Amino acid sequence: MADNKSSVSVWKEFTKGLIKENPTLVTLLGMCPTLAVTTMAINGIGMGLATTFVLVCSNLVISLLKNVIPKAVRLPSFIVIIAGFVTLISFILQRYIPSLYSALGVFLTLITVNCIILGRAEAFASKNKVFPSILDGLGMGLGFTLSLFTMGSVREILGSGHWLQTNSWEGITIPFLSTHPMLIFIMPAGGFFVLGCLIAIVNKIANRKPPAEISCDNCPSAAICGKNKEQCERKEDAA
Amino acid sequence: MKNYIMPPLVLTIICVVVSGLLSFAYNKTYVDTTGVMTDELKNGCETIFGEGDYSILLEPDAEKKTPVTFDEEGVISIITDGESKCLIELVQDGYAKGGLHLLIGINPDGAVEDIYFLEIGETPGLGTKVQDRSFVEKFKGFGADTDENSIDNVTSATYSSKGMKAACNKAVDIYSKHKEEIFVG
Amino acid sequence: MKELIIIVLSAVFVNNVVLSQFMGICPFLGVSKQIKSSIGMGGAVIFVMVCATACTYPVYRLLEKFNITYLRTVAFILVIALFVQLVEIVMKKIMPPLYKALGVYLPLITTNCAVLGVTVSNIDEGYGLVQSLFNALGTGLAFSLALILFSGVRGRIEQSDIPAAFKGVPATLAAASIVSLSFMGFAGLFQ
Repeated sequence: MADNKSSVSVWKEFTKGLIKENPTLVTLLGMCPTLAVTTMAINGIGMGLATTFVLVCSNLVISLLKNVIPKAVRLPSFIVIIAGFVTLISFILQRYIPSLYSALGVFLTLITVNCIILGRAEAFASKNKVFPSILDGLGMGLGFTLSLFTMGSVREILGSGHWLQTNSWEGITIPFLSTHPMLIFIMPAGGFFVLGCLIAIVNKIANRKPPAEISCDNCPSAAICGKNKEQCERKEDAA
Repeated sequence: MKNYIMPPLVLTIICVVVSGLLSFAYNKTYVDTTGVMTDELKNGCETIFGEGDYSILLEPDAEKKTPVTFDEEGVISIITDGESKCLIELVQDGYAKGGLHLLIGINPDGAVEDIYFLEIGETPGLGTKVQDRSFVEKFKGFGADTDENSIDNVTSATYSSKGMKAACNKAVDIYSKHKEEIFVG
Repeated sequence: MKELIIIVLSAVFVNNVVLSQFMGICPFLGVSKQIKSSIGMGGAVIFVMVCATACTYPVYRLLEKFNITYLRTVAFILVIALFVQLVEIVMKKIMPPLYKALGVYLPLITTNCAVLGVTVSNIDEGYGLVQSLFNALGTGLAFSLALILFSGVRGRIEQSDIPAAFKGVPATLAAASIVSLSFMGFAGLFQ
């Protein structure tokens, strides 16, 4: 993507992640944290912003280093860079927001293997200039945050009867639901269900054919597992 | 030849640089709070017993600050005002491992005065219900006029409730066993 | 011995890695289309989890010795990534039949968060080497069980008549929710 393009295309890099290519609801990446940490809206925001931070930084560094890193060690190098930023954000959270640090738990470490980050590094940052890469990371990260926040809100309101509760603030209490919360929504089963419904709603609104399956089209691992689609599909056929 | 040297070399350099930057960041952000009276702890003490001059019991001979724990599992530190009030900071398993990080105040009768939640890692909306004031109130006097059998577990937070009881038992136990040592310093 | 059995059983049923801890969702949804591929993926995951634990355990002890345990994420993921690539190369040369059965799934596993998750949680739980290996085995079995059970469920969904917006992934997730609900019955089995 050349830098002589108009600002419209820069804007596009940024907004595509928010809605059109929203990582969780449209391209179906990064499902694990989406399901795991969204029992409360505030945790969803925290996780989303932590991921955004890692995504922007790793996109920046990887697009800077794209010509230096030899092909043979591309993946291990990317992963080490990503893991470095993940460790950095966990230091910061541990020091300044310990309550969020303990709420995210092991999933903070697992940002390292979040498919969104490696996927963007592989598909975008390693092929593009620095500025678009940062915007791409920012857009994707905020899109991720947005969907996590939506998931978290639905689950928190239905499952515990309040909204945006934090350690220091009671949150907005929802009448009736706070006395008769539907506990199922904050349990694992409810997570799967809410995510399924959200994707269906997005499908309905966009009036778009649902993504048939999680396929090699979006799978960042496809690049790892043979650098081409045929091999990946052969795997499906062979099975 | 270049094909054999370059990839490992670049990977090694990246690893070294990343590790170096991280240890720098670690030293910048890490604060050793072992044996230090943090604002959070102070706040907890004052919520339970009101204003006072609280301090953590430290091992007298150790080089670094090492809190006295009487070798009890899960106990992090023992805080006292040097006269009659004692607070025990401990971590107890609830439903999650180490899900309850509590500060338990013990009054001079050897019973629970009140409980302060430093950190809770239980399932939001389920295990976290043990923080409800109505449940915590029941623990007042635990060890003297109430015991674990007279407190009903919170519905849908059974393991967290059991954890709370175990923590209080442990705190009361430590107080009765080590009372003299606690108030000597 | 009893303790090890409890570790394995609670990893498989009570804290099922996919259905109650949400790790490894992507391969769970992606590969569970047919029973046969589920078994292949499951086998590869069990293998990698046990070996990755065996590799990361000494690495962690080493980090502990130098007081730099905060580098564990970087060290673990690097070890896992290199290990997976190495196994792939070695298996291809030495054991072609095994490679044919499991090899295609191996690279997918580097980015499977269940593998990194299990190595990290072994450390967090304070397990020794043997306990860690059994926990890894249990987690691998749990992953396979979820995958195989679910591929059976999925076969039925494909043939049913569901609203257009729910076709595909949404229906799959709703079904996963019901399977996860059934695993909640195991909660509190041990403790």
